[in-house]
Amino acid sequence: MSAGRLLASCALALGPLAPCGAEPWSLPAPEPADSLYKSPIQLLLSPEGRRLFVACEQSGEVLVVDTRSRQVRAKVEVGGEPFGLAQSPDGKTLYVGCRASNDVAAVDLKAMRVQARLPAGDDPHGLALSPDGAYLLVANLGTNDLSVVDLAQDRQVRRLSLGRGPFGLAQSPDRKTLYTSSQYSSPVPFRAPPMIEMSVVDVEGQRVRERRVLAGAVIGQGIAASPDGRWVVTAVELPKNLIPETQVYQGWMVTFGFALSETRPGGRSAYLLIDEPNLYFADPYGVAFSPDGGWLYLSSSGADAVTVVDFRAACRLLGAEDGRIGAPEDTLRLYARHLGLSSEYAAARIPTGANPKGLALSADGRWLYAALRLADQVAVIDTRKRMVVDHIDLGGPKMVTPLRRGAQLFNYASISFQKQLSCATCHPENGVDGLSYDIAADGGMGHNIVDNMTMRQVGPTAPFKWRGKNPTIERQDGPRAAQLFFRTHGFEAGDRRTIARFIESIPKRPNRYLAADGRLDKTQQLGKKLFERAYDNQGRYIPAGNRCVTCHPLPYGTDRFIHDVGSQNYHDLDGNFDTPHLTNTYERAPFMHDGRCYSLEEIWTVHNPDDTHGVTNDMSKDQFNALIEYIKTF
Amino acid sequence: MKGCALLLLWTLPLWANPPLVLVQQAGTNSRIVRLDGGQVRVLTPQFAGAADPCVSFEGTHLLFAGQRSAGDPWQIWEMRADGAQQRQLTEGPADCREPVYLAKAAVDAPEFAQRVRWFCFVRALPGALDEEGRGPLRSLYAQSLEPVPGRGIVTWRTTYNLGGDAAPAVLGDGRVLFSSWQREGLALMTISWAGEDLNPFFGTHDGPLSQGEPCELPDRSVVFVEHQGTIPHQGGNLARVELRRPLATRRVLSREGEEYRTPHPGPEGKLLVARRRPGKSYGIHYFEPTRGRLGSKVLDDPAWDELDAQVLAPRPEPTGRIPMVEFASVLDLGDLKGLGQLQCLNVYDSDRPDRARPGQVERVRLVEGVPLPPGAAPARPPGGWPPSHVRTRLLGEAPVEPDGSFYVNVAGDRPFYIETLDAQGQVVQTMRAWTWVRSGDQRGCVGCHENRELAPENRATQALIRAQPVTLKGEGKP
Repeated sequence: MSAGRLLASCALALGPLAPCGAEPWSLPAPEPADSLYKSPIQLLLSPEGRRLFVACEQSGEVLVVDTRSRQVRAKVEVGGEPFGLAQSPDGKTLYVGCRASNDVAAVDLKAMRVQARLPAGDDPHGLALSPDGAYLLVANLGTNDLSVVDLAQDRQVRRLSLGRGPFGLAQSPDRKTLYTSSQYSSPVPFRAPPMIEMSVVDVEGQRVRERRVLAGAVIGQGIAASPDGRWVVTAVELPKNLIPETQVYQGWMVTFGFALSETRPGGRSAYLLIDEPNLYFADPYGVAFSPDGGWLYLSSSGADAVTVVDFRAACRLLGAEDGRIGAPEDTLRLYARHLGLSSEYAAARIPTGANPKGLALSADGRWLYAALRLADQVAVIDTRKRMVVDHIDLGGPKMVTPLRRGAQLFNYASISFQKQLSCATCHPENGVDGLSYDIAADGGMGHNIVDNMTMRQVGPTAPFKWRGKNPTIERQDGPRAAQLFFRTHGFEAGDRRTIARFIESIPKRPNRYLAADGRLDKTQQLGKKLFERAYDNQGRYIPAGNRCVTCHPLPYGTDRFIHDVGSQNYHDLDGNFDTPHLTNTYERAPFMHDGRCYSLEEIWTVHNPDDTHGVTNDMSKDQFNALIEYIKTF
Repeated sequence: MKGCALLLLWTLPLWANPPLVLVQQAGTNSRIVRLDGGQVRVLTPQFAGAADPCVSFEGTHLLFAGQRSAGDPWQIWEMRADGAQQRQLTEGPADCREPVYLAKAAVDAPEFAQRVRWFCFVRALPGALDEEGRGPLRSLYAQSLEPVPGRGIVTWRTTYNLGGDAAPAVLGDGRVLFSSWQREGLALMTISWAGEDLNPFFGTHDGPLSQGEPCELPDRSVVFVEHQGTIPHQGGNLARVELRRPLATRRVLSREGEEYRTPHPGPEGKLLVARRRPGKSYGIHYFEPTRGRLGSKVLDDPAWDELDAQVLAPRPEPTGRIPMVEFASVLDLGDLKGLGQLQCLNVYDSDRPDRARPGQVERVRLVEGVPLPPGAAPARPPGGWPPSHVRTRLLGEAPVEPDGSFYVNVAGDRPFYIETLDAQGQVVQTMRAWTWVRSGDQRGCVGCHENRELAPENRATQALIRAQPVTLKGEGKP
């Protein structure tokens, strides 16, 4: 189902709702044009280069572009928010991962229609094929694993556990090794720097061979292996979430770059920034190598530009040769935060416009295609001239609706000082980055550490901020955001309303833990009973104020009031917090107002010693598991 | 950067001879003239002295410094670009010079809805000498051009450097770039329009040369005057750095034997510069920065020094910003009234060869500098630190954590320097420059004289985890 149709069906399904003590709320009504935008996200070139496949996440289509005429020649409705693309070795089938339907559409490229739908995990992202084309590999961002699908039987034969939020897949030149990027940090101690996993998968053996840690990084998205197979490059964000948000200059909030990893077992990784001391290239996404391995292309979707990296110069800087990084660790630590070095290897910045995402490079390295997600176009870049020479119109509406404008505002880093960050920087894919922050103005530096929250279905959950200070999203993203995060004047009055409406329109992701008919399975029913129970296991009465359901009622899991449930931590100035919603809890770790725990169970065990946050200390492990299964259905 | 395709910040009129405004100066006599189609028209006949023009972003008005009668203090004025509708903006006994328009910004908390125009200027502080007693202490100020709702005209002092500051210019990202006395010479610093985020830009440690009179060009470079002297507004070479990496891209554009001043962006990517040969007067020329070549002459009347030529045309508005200081701050000030917050991530993060060894530093000492009034005897001999014409007052000391971090609440809007102390209370290092935290602001430092091209490490420091800042108010006498 396309995002637009999902939006409409959500509006119908939800209607005006009145959670306990709250105003009625409904999704902002989209305009007809909103369902017609294409929003191209990922690209794939056929091996001979004649066809460019474009996954359009909003219209639920794959478009087939003739690269010679640069015209759309065919379209296939695949539904389900298409994302990842892979073409069978014989060229007959295109596999398209569909995020909303949690499956993979197999498209017959002769008939130009979906011939089968294959199973996958939750929120499938990157796709790849085994060398013999017998197996399809699917990175499931929502379930943190890799589906191995037997294409002869059209069934999933294996699930391999990966890092948190596996996003992109890259294959070695012989296609026998798979590298995965991860969007979210693996669990780390409270107030420790994040780290993401780059999983190395033996494709033929169907096993994870190595789990490489990329320390200090998050939002690993685009990933590519060098043509010589010696290196893997991952586009990453290097956040500064642990230091107080007192300024933006000098990379104080976040920096962006790429991780260069040796492919040999146990290999090292190094980071190089694509930012400059006075300008940042926010939200790096797509990564592509030139055929000779000399150039690396990175799309910066917040900066509307593609950076051309002289890969050999970058390797020289790192002392990298023959597949080994020679520079010592203290040098690598320095380089990872060195804003001035990019002039050594950033050979060009190509303005593209409109939120460039996935990249595809022709086999001869001459033509680089960039999906311009918020322009419904594909930019054609002449890599020799290093400029956009054409735009392929994908046929979306030319008008910009308010919601579309809101999406643009959400993704443009030009709102911030020196373009250091966009809203999407901390809320990739309209979700959350999984980090906690020290918003220094809230009680002073070092106090009131807060966990970032998702934007998905946040609309009906006012007030906002963990202290509940902001009654509306307009207030939340108005002067406060401008003053504290962007360090500019922020959104103009009209744009402030526009972006607030866009944020309000962001739906939650389809929840695969809840059956389509809404019925709970036995474990979930047990969890619901525990959630609502009025007596503990020993028959003691639980006051209404201390039952889960009181503060976390359906449908959003929040009563929208402020409570003190004894969760005050050492850094907090007080213990009063706005009740968080429970929407898509399963994808939103860490938990609690300061993000101190990565599992729900910790909330009720480690951090609830006196049963002030619900009565939980009498529960068994099975009961905790049932409670978790129920909460996952929100 | 090789072969880059950059977005231009702006393009100025392409016609060959756009209307210009410039200063003609002869001795103590100065006036602002408009050059239009070869004709010179004096815009300030009623002033004994007029100088320092700045063209508004709309291209319709000018700020300037004016002296109604000889001997009057200089004040800031605004007029239309044709010289009409002159109005005085500042008053008082102290000289006010070098105004520049700033971006519109709102300071009316909490909605920040009413944006007003601001301007920056240099004011000589009444009753204060600079740190070496050379003359009045000059600092940057920001003032609203229009009344701020509920507050009238707001004036903020934005720099507190005791060496003195001059020659402000506005960058496209909204920062003010200015020439600042830093120990032995003038260097370029940046600051937000309201006085937050003080940061070195170029030249703080580049030998005996001084930098001043900067301007930003559309190609993301900054051109400035570089000279051997220690007084602002001296002629020298034209030099250029690129914003992509200012500290590593300096290039001298002009030739020896010529003196240049007051570069400004001109049409078609050229500069408008004041240039003279030894013994001659300054005249206005075009200059081609990419070729490093002097271009055609615009105006050179031997009876005058022509300076500060600017194109009378619209130009892009820089990025505005809601400040965090004073009454605009969202800090729940409470006990923090009159204070700002400062934290350092790691005193051992330094690019100095004599940096402290890990574990060597136990405490930091913040010492306030108080300028001397005219006529006062120097506090100490010249040539050392603190400078001769500064009295000092101890603001206080604070512990440094084993990981090198510290965190203090410090008296706002007062210049200080920092010393690191070992376990015996002996000074390990002394910061030989003035810094400050604006009242209501929060600042972080990466290290102690760290490499300015380094972003901070992502680390919750011990000082932040402890979150018990020491308050340093320095309530004693200097």
